[in-house]
Amino acid sequence: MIHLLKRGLNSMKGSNFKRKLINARRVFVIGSHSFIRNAWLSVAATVVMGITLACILLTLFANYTLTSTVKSFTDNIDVSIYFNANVSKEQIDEVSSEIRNDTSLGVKEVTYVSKEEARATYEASIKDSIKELQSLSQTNDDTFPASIKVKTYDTAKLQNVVEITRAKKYSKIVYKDSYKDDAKRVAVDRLGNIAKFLRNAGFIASILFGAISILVILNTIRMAIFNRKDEIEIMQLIGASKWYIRGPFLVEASIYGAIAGIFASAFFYLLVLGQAPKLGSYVEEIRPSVEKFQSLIWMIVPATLIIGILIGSFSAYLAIRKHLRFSHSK
Amino acid sequence: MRKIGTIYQDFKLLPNRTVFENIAFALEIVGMTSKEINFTVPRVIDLVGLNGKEKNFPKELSGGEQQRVAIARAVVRQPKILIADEPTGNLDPKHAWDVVAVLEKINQHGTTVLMTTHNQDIVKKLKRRVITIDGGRISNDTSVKAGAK
Repeated sequence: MIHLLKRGLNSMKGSNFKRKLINARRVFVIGSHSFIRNAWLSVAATVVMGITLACILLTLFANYTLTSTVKSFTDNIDVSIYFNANVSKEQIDEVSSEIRNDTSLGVKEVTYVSKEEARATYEASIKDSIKELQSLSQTNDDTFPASIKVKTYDTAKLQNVVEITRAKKYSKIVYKDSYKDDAKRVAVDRLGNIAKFLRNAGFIASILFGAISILVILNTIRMAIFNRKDEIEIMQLIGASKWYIRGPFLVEASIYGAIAGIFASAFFYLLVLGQAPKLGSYVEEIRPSVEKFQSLIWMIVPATLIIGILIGSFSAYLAIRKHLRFSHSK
Repeated sequence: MRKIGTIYQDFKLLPNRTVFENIAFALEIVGMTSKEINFTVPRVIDLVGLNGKEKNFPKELSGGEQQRVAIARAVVRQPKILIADEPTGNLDPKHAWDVVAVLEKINQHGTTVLMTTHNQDIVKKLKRRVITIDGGRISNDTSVKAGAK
């Protein structure tokens, strides 16, 4: 009898790697069974995690859309400095250089518009109005002053730009500027502030839900450990390794994260991106954001799954460290 | 591979696994394949005399049978030493002798069996080396030649 046992055991001599793979597969199976066995707890943990991941995706999408929206508005905000008719190109260049070289202004662009270009632009804008075209033919080149159009990265800095051009040294060459404390600039600034607030709110919401997910999963795994306390003790006595005992809990929590990732991605891509273009008539920038996120689906979906698995595993690890003590090390 | 097997007074079987699965578990944790397990476990079940009980759960077995499952689990990895901590403590005399008989059989096959017991009948009838411990110290040590390994 014993020689037959020896034959069975001797066959074990050989691939240690193969044994480890077999053990890993068994750990995965035990973890999966545990997920199914604690069905209601598993559903609760998965739902909370799904909300967290959906919140992260929505925050990313909203952040991208808002940033694009604000950028498209601020790109159109500029100030035009108009020069007197007798001012030479060199004098205008001097003003442009002073503005461009002042690093505190954060100048994005300074564009020179000559008298001829200004006239041609106006002419193009009134090409359908015969009456205005007739009026235009009565004017000369000096009617349309040369100007420079200044754009800054921060719209608030436009005020600093006009302070330079309104200085006494330029009073003889600068005719006027288009800067006013107007509603458009104020509205864009306000939009920028709203966008920043919503970005921060989304970030905080994601962190909050993430913390809640970790706590829910930690508690779920803690309960699973408690329910299997006797079984774990026996496993230790028989000689199971620490990771053979811990592994199934990590697998179980990872499954919560993976399933939550799938649901969050499906919710985001089917519901949110599917319905978002309907808002496109109100906010044009949503369409490019939708296209961008759809083009990155191959990256976003796996990333969501991985984040879910990481959050789940981390929570389980915390629970195991705190509640699964070993009386011996192996 | 672990060279010491242990059995306990309260059996320490996994209640939601069958006899076969309880024994197989000791082989699963060391990475034995299903084929190897299916080869080895039935032979150990035969060794401890539990043929026909493979699919029973521990709660469906008598105390003696449960202890024999525990013995099977302990010896399936062929330990050099089997430590039995009061293996008959929870058993009636008949089942207690069944368990002792199994331990003797295992000893005959070359495994050293170290058994702790308060049962003087078993000690007298086995006629093996007896080490008496009193207050944590060895107070007596007999060495019996017949059947000792």
